[in-house]
Amino acid sequence: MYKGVVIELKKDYSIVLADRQFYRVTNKVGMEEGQKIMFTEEDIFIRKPVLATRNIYIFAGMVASFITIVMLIYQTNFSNYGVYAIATVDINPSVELKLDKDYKVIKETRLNKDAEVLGEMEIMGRDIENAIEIVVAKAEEKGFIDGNQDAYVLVTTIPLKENQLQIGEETKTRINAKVKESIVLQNVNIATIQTTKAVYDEAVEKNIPVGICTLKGKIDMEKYNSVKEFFKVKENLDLFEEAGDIITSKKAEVSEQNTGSNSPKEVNIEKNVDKKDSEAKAINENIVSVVNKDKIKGNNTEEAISIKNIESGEKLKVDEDIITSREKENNENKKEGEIKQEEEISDVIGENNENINDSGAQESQGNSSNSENADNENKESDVLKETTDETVEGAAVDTSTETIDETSTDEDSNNGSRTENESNSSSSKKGSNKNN
Amino acid sequence: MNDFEHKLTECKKDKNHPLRNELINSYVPFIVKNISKVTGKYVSCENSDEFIVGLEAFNEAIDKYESSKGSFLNFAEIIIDSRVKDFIKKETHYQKQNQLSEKDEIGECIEKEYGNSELKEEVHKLKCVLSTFGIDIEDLVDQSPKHKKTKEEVTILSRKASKDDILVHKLYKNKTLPMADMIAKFSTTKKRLKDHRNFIIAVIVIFKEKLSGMIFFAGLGGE
Repeated sequence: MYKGVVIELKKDYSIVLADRQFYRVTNKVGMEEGQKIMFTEEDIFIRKPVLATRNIYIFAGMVASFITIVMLIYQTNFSNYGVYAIATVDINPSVELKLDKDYKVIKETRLNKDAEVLGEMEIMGRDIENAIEIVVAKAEEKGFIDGNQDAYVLVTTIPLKENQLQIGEETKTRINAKVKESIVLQNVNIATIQTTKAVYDEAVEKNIPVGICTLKGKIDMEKYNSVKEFFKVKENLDLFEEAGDIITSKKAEVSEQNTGSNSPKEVNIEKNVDKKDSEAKAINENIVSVVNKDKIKGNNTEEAISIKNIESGEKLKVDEDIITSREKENNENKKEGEIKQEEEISDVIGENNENINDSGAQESQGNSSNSENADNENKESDVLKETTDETVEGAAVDTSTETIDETSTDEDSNNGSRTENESNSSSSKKGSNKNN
Repeated sequence: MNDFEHKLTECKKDKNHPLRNELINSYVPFIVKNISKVTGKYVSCENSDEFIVGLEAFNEAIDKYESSKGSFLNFAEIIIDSRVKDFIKKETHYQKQNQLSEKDEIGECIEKEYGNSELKEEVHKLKCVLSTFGIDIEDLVDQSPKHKKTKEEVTILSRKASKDDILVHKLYKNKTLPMADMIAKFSTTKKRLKDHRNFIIAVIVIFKEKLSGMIFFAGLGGE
């Protein structure tokens, strides 16, 4: 038992000086400072409850920190250990895609300056094949892929664990499936190759496309810092096909079919030159494909390109002429239609005749096949004769009689002129369709 | 237990047996505990009617106890409990009457208050002085010596130091314990001074300020 003086009152306990020592004692009713009290061991305040509450905080803190640590680990798992494989897409913008188990992109990295130009690409979380499509589309949009040129997209897969060798195959099949439905991917050749992490590291270090680095030893890597240059050389292609696969573009396939496997390209080109405008596009395609082929074969590349350029230039010019003439026609017709609203029928007839002649001439210029229409139009002296080929003979009579009746009213004349304009334009369209 | 029962029977026989006093003295903590349990307050050392009632109840328990009816302490507890309760009842009744005739009680009240207020002042003074040293009472609880021997040693040391004017002057001036001087003057170790620094300062202050009430009740007087 202790006798002592209460020194200080606190919320949970009081401090008592007793027996040459300061004690904490539990609070009881009616305590005051300076009170002389007797107390026993039982009254001594043990800090346990205080410690307990403190412990709760400590415990809570530990739990919180534990949770954060777990979450951090989990997150790092996601960003690093969650990466199942890496795929690089080299066009020449090089983009690196980190894939998870389901071949979904979880991270994209731009590997060179060209890639940074590509801008925002919404490929996070997409399947690898879709991501590649988007990258290619973006590259095309930014002008890295020339529609007329033979473009290669080099897709390199890098499994991060040794037992994942099926990744390359899986990627290839996925891309193959995608190519069938994607126009974007049909326009390019897709080269796929699988390599190892070591090669990847080396390639990243040297800043060359990973797929090319895979062929180290066989080629002089220093020469090729872009995929485009690499695939220009035929030997490289052969080398590449030993290690990887190339999914050739539809364009190339079409060209092969058209040209035939063994026909010399010069003959083809000569033929093409002689052909009419209506087949110009097809020819152009053929030329492109031929050029592609030439490039692949590495024969007469320059010659082929130059021919191709000339041919395409000519073709373009012709196209332009057709377009401009059509536009003129339409414009004239419109204007004249407006004017005719105020003019008399006789004028209308005369001008329309002129129009028909003009359009006929233009059409025959651009397109000989349309001359029939033009002839028909010329034959029929009546302006309002026909709207379509079917109505040329029978309907023309009806319309002409109608228009004669209607000459007294301005409105009807306007209608007539309009229908004629329409007929003109439609005929010219038909011509162009035939051309195509 | 045999010894205890023997004592009990001895006490029973003779009301003025010296053993009875001894027995009661040794059970004061028990009595205090039980009183405190009933009242819910600490038992004051002075002028505590409850304490006296408790002691009387214990005494009564010794007389009335029969060994055949179970343990003595349980019996004593029941007796103390009931007696103290009775007393409190009476007290409240008395206080109610007091309220009607307050005049008689005023003198006594003042006296009671005075005893407490004196100590209260001392406590206040001690706190004030200690706060100038940057010492919180809280620190003293953890830094006061726990072992009997150390307690004794430290209090004696402090008392000696408090009588040394130079040391006290230094202490009040620097607000730190002049350890080097103390080690030189009194045969003590630095560790001891360091460990109980605040307690030593507090005790020196108590002696220096001559807080006699506190010295007495804290058992610092000693010797």
